[in-house]
Amino acid sequence: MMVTLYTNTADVFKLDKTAELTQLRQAAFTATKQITMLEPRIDLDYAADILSANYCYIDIFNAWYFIEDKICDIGKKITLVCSIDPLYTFKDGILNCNVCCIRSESPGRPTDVPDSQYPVHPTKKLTEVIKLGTGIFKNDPAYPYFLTVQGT
Amino acid sequence: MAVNEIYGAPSSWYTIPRSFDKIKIANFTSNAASINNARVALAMQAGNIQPGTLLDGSICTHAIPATLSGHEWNTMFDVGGINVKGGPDNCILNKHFGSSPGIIYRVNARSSESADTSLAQRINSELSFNSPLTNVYDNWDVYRMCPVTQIDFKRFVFAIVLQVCTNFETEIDSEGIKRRTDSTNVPNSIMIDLQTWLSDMKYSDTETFHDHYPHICTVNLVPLYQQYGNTAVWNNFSAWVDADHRLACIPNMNFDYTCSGWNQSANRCTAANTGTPVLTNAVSWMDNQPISGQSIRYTMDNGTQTNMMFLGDSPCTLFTLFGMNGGNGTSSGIWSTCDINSNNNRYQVRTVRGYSHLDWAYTGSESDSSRRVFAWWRDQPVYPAPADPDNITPTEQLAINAWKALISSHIHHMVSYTGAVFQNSVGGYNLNPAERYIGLIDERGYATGEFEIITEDTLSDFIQTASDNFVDDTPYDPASETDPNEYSDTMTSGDPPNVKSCNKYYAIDGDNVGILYSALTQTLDGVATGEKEEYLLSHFLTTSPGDLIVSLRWYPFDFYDIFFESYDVPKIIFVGDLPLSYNDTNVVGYKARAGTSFSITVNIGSFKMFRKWGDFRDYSPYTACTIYTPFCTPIKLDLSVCMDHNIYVQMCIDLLTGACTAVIRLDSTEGIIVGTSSGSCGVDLPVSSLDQATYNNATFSAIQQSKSANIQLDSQYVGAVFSGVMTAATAGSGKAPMSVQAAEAGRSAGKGVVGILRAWDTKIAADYNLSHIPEQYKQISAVTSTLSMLLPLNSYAIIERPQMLPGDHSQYGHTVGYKTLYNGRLGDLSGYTVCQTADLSGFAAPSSVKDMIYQALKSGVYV
Repeated sequence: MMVTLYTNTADVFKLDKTAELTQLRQAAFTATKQITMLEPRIDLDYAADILSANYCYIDIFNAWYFIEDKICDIGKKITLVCSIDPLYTFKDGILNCNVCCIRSESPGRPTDVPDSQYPVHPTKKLTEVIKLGTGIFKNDPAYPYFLTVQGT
Repeated sequence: MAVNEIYGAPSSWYTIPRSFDKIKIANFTSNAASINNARVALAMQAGNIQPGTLLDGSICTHAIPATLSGHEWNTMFDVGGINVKGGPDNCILNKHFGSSPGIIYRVNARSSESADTSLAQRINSELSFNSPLTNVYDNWDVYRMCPVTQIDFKRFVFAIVLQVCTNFETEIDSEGIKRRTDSTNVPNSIMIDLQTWLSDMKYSDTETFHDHYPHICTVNLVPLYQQYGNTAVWNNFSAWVDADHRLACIPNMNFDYTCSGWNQSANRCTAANTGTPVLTNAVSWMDNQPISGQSIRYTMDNGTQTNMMFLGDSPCTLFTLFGMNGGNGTSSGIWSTCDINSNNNRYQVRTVRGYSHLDWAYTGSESDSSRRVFAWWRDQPVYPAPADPDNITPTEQLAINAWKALISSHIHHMVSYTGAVFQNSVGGYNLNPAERYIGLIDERGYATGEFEIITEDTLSDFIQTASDNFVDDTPYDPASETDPNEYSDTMTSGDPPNVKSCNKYYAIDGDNVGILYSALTQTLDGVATGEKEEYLLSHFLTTSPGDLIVSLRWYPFDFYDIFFESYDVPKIIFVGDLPLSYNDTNVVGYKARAGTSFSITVNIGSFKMFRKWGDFRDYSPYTACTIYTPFCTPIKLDLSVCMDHNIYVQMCIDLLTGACTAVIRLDSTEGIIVGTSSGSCGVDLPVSSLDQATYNNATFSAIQQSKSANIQLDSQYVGAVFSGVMTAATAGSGKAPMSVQAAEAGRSAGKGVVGILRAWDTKIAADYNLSHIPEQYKQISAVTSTLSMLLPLNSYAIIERPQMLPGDHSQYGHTVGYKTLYNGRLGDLSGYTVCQTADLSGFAAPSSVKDMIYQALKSGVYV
């Protein structure tokens, strides 16, 4: 069984961490006790760069893991306490899923969907005034008066 | 019987498994066959079902105690009141269900001119109709059925009941009513193809029932009277029809035949007649005919055969059958066949010639208020008659109960096929039933065969049919999702009206307004020239010119060019036939011609409403646009409608009243109106007018009085001097000296002085009155505020757009995400993404892992 150790600088919730993974070393390990798929604990022989790893790939599970903790044990052993990274492990399947997305960086800009969180100023407004037409009404005393008189 | 009883159902039913569209109609094939009378009742009654097998092989179900009374329909219609409109030509009911009126169908008489209507007799009946159909030979006309009023059906339907009176034995099956001879059907002898008949049945000149009343279906099409084997003239037929004939075998429960113009004796027509039997008002007849203790007589003539098919009677009744041979009262086995069930109920009799009558006695004990009809129902299980009706074993009772339950269920479903309403309770007259069964119809109005039990409380919850307006020729069809409305993108303005008016309208300038004011307030006081006095006296002694002024109004725009022609010249303004002038200067103005319209629409201007942001910020509540027009309330635009459109502003002005309305339109001056606001652009000017008639009159009178007073005073002076002179003139004649004469004159002068003083007083009083005549003014026209003139007189669009909070918001998308509503593949997105839901199928992972993924997607992931 092989474990490949990496340093990972990507966000935990990033699906594709490939670009942010830097491989440190591969190490073989034997299962001296039960190893779970979701939270495996792997015993390795001590190596200095192991301690700088925070991410790993375990071949028997074909899964990627965060290294949550490292335990130095007697006999120059290091135990890696791992938890599965479901996003990177099942990246391809997730990307093919149908979702209902309510927020995304994809549009690149606000959309027509109202967004109450968008930092619009709550009080300041820009007022524009457009004059319509040339104006037919004037306060001109020369304008006639309309007189209505009885009779025909 | 209550007015609102429904009746009219004939004595037997034939169920149509589905809706009416399976009923066909055809022509008669035999000249000898005739349908002498028919009634089409728009009602359905379910009633006791008779058991047993008839000779023709059809099976009647047995009557069941629970009476399914068709008048449940009545109760449905009883709500809200019922008005029966009588009249010989129609049986019209205005029934209400809930708060809706009901549709009543009226059958018009045959349109054929050759139809002989003289033999028919119309009978009015509630919720049904009798058409005085004449003899129909070979062709069965399509009867027009006209909806008269409208009923909200609430998902129930009417059943059309056709009762026909034939001179031949009939058979009914799904194909229709057929002529039948000797237990076999005459080939090609479908008499009434009901489907076509119904499908062609029209409810108006152009519309058929079928197209627009899918909820109508026939349930009962039954000949009321059959005469087996008799193809002779219906003379004989009619001879056998008398008041005692019954069809349904329940005594007194059949329709009565009356013979118009026949001799009747003891409920029997004694002589053959050419009269046409008519169908009487069954319910009223039933009301008048108590069940018990009355016999039925079927009278046959000699030399013919009679086959009276009828249904067995109620299990509650027994009757006896008497046969008379030639009237001698002896029973002689006169019938060739007679089926009698184990209850000794005879439900079919087929007689042979030579017998005068058959009497049936009825000894039933059921309430005569019940209504019963019967249904022929093929393949129904036969009633499990107990061996001894008086000692029914438990097993037999179980079978009977089961049979009744089955029949009830079948009846319910049978009725449900019609969508009819029915009630399962004894004593069907109950107008407030505990529960009702309502047959259900689908959205097309076709019966489904299912029913639902409802109560009074839930009755009103029933969904109404798709269209409450059955006279709507273009109902909205949700199934096809077509919108029959015709849309237009324009809202054309109306033309200014040229209304006739008795007033005169002038446009006058400011200078003439000043002269007008002077003319209206001028008085006799300070009259400069006699011409003016003469003018005022001759013109305004009895008339105040102000009384004829209606209004004076100023407008902030030049309406000369709008309402007057360029070649018009100013004319003197007359009030009545009196010209207005002051100090020889006439008041002049441009007079509008008769028929001029004084309202106009002017285009103020337009602008285009542009987006600024290209996103939600361009709409409410972030962006707002208000149109300000002078004199009117500002109008706020709905930007969801107006964005990216050209906005046109118009003003409709009425010179007669000063009212104006601002109109906002989309895209053109004829475009859709998106806002209006009313106001007033005319300034009413207060015009004070002296009540010149009163004033001038008073002044003139006072002048006259003053003159009279002066004249009187002068005459006093003259009188006093004249008498003194006379005394002095007589001094040389030895009279007393002047002093004495003067004394005498003084005595005379004493009288003269008093007279002078009195006349002086009168003059003083007259002069005082002349100079103290009150000027009475009146104000013409209202006072209008001119505040609106202080506001802008131009029209403006005021647009408020949002601003952003200070700071750098470039990372908003990466950290919060832009609000969107995207449904699709996650991989098509990029960057920070928050999902509302996700379908995580398509890859294998433990459920807990998928749950973690789901939660991550909901909180936000970076794709």
